[in-house]
Amino acid sequence: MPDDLPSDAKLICPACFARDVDPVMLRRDADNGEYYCAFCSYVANDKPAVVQFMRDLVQHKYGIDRPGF
Amino acid sequence: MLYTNIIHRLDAKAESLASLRFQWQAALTRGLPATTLCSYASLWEENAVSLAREMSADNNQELGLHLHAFNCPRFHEKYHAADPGFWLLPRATQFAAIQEMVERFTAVFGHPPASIGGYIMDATLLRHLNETYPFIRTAITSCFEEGARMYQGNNRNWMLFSDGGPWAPHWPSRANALIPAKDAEEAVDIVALPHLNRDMMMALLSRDDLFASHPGNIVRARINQGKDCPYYFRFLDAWRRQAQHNGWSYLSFFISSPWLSAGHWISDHPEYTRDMYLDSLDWMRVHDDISVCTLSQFGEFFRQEVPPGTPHICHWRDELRQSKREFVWFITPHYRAAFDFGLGGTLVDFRPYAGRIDGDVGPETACQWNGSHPFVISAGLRGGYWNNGWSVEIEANGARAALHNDRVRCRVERDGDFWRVIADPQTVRLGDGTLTLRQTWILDQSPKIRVLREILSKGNINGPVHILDQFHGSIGTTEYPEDLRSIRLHTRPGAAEADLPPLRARLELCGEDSEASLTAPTLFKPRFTLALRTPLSTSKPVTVCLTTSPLTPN
Repeated sequence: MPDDLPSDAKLICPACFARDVDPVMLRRDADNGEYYCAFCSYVANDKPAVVQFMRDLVQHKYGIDRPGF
Repeated sequence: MLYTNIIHRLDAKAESLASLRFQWQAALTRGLPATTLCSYASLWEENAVSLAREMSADNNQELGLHLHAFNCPRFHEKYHAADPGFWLLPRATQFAAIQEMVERFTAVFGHPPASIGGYIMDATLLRHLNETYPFIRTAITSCFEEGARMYQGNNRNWMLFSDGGPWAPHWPSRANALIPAKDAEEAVDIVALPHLNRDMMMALLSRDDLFASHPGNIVRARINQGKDCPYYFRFLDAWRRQAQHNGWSYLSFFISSPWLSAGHWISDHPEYTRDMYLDSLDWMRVHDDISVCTLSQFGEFFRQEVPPGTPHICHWRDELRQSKREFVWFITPHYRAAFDFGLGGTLVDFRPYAGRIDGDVGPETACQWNGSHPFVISAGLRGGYWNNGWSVEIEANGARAALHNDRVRCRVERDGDFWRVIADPQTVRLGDGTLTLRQTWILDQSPKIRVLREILSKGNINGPVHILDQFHGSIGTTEYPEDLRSIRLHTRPGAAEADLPPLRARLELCGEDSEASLTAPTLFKPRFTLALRTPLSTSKPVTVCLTTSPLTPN
């Protein structure tokens, strides 16, 4: 559901999620706002990119559309 | 100068020979020297030998041996061995097969081989080669950072564990081939080379075999766009840059011909691999700071210019994603270390070599299949730096701030026999105040890692400032905990120490006026912690040292 998560929620690293690693929260660079994972090599320019990655992944893995990610 | 070896493998199959001819001609028409290593089965295959003889007429070609292709009728009938991996065969079988290969090579080509390649060549095998075949002076001895993560990614079909060693050419210790020798007396007199160069970020974060100096591996990773792959050439250029820090750099371009042939089990577009192969050779030709040579030519350069005991550094950027993440790797005869500047310079991989523990593999050895040198820190295999790593916090104004929460850039400066790794200043918020400080790592031939911390500025910080170092360590080669009951932890004024009997090594974390504390491992948290709380003033930097030393039995 669209309001499943509050807008300022921390973002789980979708690449770690893809590898079935327990949630690793993304960090955000202070100077350019880039999102990055402290555990793997995942990087994203902005929040919509992370959300889309996760949504596509869940759709692909489990056949569930989660527009609210 | 980036010294580059173009390496081919002579195989027995007709399609492989056709691809090898393509590789040879590509090098020949560009005037580039190359080395072709003859596998076991190929030495008795008429068409293969014929091609090798043809190639040997080319003055730019060196022929050597490769310990591969034992899964053939001749070998099965002669040795009754089931393992196709040479490194896992009984020692007597290894020695007999090498003798057979050297004799056959000499009979066919009229001279003995000067170079040899293998996936794992352990210390006993290298000592045997050196004593029995002194004309073999250069060897490919290991595959950098192939271990637990590779094993997970290869469907358990490739039983090769050699984590924890050098990524660059080195003089192997007589005790353990993954450990660089400290002097000529300790060294096996064979120059040891890595099988391939690997992405030094992906070596820590993922599988590095998909991100290597090998177009077929790039296509396997599906990071090419047809015959183009900008990442791949950024990766190659990164190895050119390493020469700035060490005076020289090395690139192994070892692509066996099946990767360029139709029908390869995983490379669905050999034409892309071939195009990238040719582009790689052209890349080698256009840069003045690249010297392409044969294995033996590189070995002789190394003998002349790089004495045993010389440390080696690698400053690696995120060439894959081109983010701000940077890593520094450092190796000496005392330890190997990797720092992640995406985590403020946290030590994320650490292997003490002081104990010179055995690393031989095979059915008669204690290690059996596991040739990896154990870590004390592996953030990647143990779930993150919060479980396994040396991280730092600042304490002031009744608040704490972690330096590993921020990405920083760093630069590497060489000053004679030591290197400074200087991180960009970090500003942290502590309650109502802010503090800006800088960390500098001093790395040299000694068994010490020294870290200098200096306050550059502070605002609204009242009272003392302390640096809190926490070294979370364990022992292992995989994700799973091992028995840590023999570990002994001690403190003395200004220092916290760990005695690690399985590694025959002692670690000491010490600082100026530091308060030391310890945390013992538990079954739920199988790690020990060495901690220091060190006062930090604006008047002078403070230094904290991590020292490795051999553990002497009581």
